[in-house]
Amino acid sequence: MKLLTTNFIKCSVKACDASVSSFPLKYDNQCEIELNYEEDESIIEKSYQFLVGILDKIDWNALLKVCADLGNNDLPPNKPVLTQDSLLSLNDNEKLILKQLFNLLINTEIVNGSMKCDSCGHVYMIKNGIPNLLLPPHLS
Amino acid sequence: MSDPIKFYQIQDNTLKEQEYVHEVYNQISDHFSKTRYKPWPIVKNFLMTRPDYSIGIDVGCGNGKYLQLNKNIFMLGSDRSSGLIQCAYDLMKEKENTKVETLTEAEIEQGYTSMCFGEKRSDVMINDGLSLPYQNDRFDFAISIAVIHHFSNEERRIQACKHIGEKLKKGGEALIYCWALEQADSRRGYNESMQQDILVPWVLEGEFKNEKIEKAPKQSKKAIKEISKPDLSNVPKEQRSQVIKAWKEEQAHLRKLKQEQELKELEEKKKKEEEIKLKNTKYRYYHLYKKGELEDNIIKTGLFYIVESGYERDNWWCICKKK
Repeated sequence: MKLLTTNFIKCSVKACDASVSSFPLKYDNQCEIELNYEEDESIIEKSYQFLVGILDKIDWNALLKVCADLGNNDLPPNKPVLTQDSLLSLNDNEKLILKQLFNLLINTEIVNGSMKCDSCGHVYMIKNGIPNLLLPPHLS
Repeated sequence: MSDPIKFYQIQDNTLKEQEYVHEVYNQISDHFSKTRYKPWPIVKNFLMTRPDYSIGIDVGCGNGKYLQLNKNIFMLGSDRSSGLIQCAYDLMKEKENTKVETLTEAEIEQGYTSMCFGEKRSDVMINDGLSLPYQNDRFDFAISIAVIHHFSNEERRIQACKHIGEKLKKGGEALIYCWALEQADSRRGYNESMQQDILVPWVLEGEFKNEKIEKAPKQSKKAIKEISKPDLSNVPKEQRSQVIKAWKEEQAHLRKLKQEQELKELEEKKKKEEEIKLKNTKYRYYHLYKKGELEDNIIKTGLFYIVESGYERDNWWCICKKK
């Protein structure tokens, strides 16, 4: 599961819909993480464009929380302001943030571990890169 | 086991779907996935015309054949079948790890360069279409291709459409496909006058076929031999004709026994083959949609208005927009 995905998923339990604590899920700090660096310049460039494009749609606070769960506190507290035009004249700080975002959101994968709903306490497993959000019969 | 008779004895809809949809897909996932690789034109067009940087969900993505068509959007695919999601995950990784430079000319001609080769633009998970673990009002678009027809009553089918709507932003569009009852040109030949709720057999073949069956206890077989000629050397001349007559009768009897045995063996072989076929036939439940029914389901959610709808390849499809 890519870290980007954690920015969209919440608890499957209907009763948790109304609770703000069902999103994001709380990731176990023992999760096994894999980071695959990208070296291909053209893919890096296209991925930066893509990231700037979807930046609007990222819930920054949720991202900070999940990163903190997994032991990463490198991102700035506020969402950076970046546009496709600004990609042509990035300052060093912006370059660094984009690189971090690329490595975190796209290149980092939670391979094994678990995530928990802070509202109902239900724990969901991630095995071999695949999260399972199904509920046991008594909860569905 | 998906026994077609037992289906009608199950009253609970969740259980019906568990046995006649989810378990079957887990049993046939590898074979099924191998047969699902060509994108349907209308689905492809819908995905290729999403604005850049849209975020979408594919509810019931199967082996994920639609997740990586457009590299300028991000898609989350999910399925109730862990077997199919494993296929989707493996195929996703394969594309992510294939550099676009390695594509053949034929692949480039087929438009593969717009696909996510070498780029990570999708993810997959196991979840339930009636309990999607996504934030509400968050997604730009959704697709659900050949999925809603597996829910076993109208209320659940409407609920499934509604649940997709809840995940979309205002103005977000969904493309939904369901199998049609009207299939005049298909080999299955379903038509308007037929039953809408049916069990459709899937026969596992080739490498996916399970050939092992319980062995019946071996019966000791007596070899039945015919002797070429009776030995008459020690038989007095006057008795020889009687001996030959008796010998001929015995031979006829033996031949009859042999024929019977061969027939029995043939029957057993046939029975065994039928048993294997039965064991490799899995029944999936479908509700075949009548003309106008999909739009009706979608309107009944109260969340959508219809943008466009039509018929393609034995399926009714509908593009709807969230109010």
